[in-house]
Amino acid sequence: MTTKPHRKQKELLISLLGIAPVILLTLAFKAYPLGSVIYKSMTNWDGLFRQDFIGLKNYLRLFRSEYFWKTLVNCFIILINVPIQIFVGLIVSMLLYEKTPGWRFFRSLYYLPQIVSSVIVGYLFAIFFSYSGPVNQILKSIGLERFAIEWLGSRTTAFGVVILALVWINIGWQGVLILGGLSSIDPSVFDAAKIDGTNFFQRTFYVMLPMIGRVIEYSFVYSVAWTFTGVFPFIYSITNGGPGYDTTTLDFLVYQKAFREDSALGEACALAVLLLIIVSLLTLIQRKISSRVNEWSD
Amino acid sequence: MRTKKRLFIMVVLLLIVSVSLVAKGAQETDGPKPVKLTFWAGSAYYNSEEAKRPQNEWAITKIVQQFEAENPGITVEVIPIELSSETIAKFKAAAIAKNGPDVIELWTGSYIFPLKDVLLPLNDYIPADDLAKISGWDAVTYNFEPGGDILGYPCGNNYAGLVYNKALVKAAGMDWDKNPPKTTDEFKTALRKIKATGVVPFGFDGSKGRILHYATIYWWVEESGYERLVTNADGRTKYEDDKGFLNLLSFMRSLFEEGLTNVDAATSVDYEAKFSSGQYAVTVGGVNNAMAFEAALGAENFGFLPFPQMSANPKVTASIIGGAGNCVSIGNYTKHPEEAAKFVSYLASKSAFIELTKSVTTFPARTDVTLEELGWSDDPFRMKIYELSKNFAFWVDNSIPANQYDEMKRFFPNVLTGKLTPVEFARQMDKLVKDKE
Repeated sequence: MTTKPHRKQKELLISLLGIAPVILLTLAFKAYPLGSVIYKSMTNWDGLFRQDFIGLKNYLRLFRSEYFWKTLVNCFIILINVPIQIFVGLIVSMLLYEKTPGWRFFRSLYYLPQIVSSVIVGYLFAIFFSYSGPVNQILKSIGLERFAIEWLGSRTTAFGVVILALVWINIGWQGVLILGGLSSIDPSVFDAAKIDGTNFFQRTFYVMLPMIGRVIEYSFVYSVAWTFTGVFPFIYSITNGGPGYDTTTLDFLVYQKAFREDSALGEACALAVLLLIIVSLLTLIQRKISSRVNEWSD
Repeated sequence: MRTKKRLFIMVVLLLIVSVSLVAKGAQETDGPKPVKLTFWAGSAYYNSEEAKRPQNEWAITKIVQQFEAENPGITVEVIPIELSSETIAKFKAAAIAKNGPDVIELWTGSYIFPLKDVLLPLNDYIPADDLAKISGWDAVTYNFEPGGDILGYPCGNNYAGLVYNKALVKAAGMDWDKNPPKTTDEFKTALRKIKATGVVPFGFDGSKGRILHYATIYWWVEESGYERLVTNADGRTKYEDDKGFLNLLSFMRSLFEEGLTNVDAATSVDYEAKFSSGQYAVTVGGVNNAMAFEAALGAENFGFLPFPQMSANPKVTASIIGGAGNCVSIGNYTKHPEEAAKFVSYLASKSAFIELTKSVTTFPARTDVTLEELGWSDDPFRMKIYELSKNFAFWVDNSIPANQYDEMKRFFPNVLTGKLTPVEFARQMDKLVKDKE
């Protein structure tokens, strides 16, 4: 009678011991730094010994500042890159899936930007779009002098350059991801669509797209989170956040606050916590929306 | 069998313990322990050309070897760094963990003051001779207050002014060697003449911030004086009411508006390359980059122009900006403060500076080194700077809080291009000061 519960307890203990290293590592490398950042966001930490508890002052200062709201808006503007990169990735993956002539060569070519350092890509774009750079030279040589402008000198065009760089570097990743989703679809579905006389775009948008909803959802959620937390190297190398705060994003602002000579690390921590909350909220909203969409399409 | 095994283990343990005790005893009786210092050395101690060669060929390595030979038992490991905000962040992290370098090169003034808690005050370590013969002690004295903690040894004096292409200036009918523009009005007229020849008169560097760093800031100090900079920065006076600040911004804006600068003045990334290739007639330059300009243009075409006077009633009457922008400091966690102090004093010795000038471009922070000793007695550019450096305006970025200078660097291009008026920018600076309070 007592053997069964005893065995169960033993099994539970063994399984707990089995996952204990993972739990301990997670606590050490995730929970502790996170807790530490949250605590430090409520101090005036200068990177050295000054660490007085100041409550929510850092947060209030951020909410009262113009630049915080401006950088938040900037993040949302840069989000434009997400649908564009997914759309281009979709077209690329479909072309590869349909084995368009030269697909083997293009399969490697499209992925190439992904393996180049982000900072290098950023500097290349900065050089290309500098006033005396190749883009303006080409425009001038084909008689379009009036379009040869100072690309990085105004908010609109500087954002255009940043978004172009983000789309360009992500085409390969999006292509591979969606291609993976496509390979899980039975080829007979496409064959049947072809027999029915559908063209490339009809097959892409009416046949393929509804069948890879979950892949697109994942891509969307990941790309949105990445746009909030991963564009730092591009902003750093292309615009350095300028003109003024015109292209500064939240993750770039965290860096600027933290690594200034008189570093305001407490404020940088507060910004990082806000960034975490924003990204978590956005992810939740996206998951809710996409679950509904997938329910409807089911 | 078991007893034999136990006996064997006990004998081995006994042997280990006795060997360790003998070794420790020997260590304690063998005189002073060898001391190893680590030195994070930046641009004041090696240059980018040297960095292409093995480290044992660098001038600083030779200086360290001489120091080691003169001080048996002390060795120094030189770790080259690029002095930047990121390096300072690394230093802070290492200093908190008490495993940072014993000696580190840092920026002076407002850059070094926030690091006071991890730096060793050197007041009791500096020999009287060093205090007398080295210049720039005020730049490393906490909050510039006389008698305060001295946080480092000044080193690497850089000076800046305007540099120009003599051939392009001559083509516009002028000879600045004989008749240089003395006021900013004359300077502006001269730039107009250059523009008429089809050349970009004044090359601005939007991205690097050197125009702001050197020229703009010099003209501000000239009219407003350092006292005003300090009172603006701590909120006792306002940027908005600072005529020197507003005048210089209006002047720079007018140069851009009139087409006397490059079109991409706000974003340019290649002003040095364009000046070097003869596309710009004038730009800013210091001893750190003037050598490269001279090499590109040829000594006969390279000219140095002290800043023309902007103010009718200048509070600072210098003609170049510069001084001890860098220093070497000692971490207060070091286990060898005496030896580290001895080393930094050696780095600031006359012989060390003479050796260093063979590689780095900055001027020695000593008053007792002659041009002949440095081998510069037949170098017209260096001779000119040497003379002018007897009266210079100290770096403004080292004098005001970093967050305020950052804001200036960030928004100066917007003022230049007219997106922000000088008054709007001044109000923005005042708001920044108020928010910090």
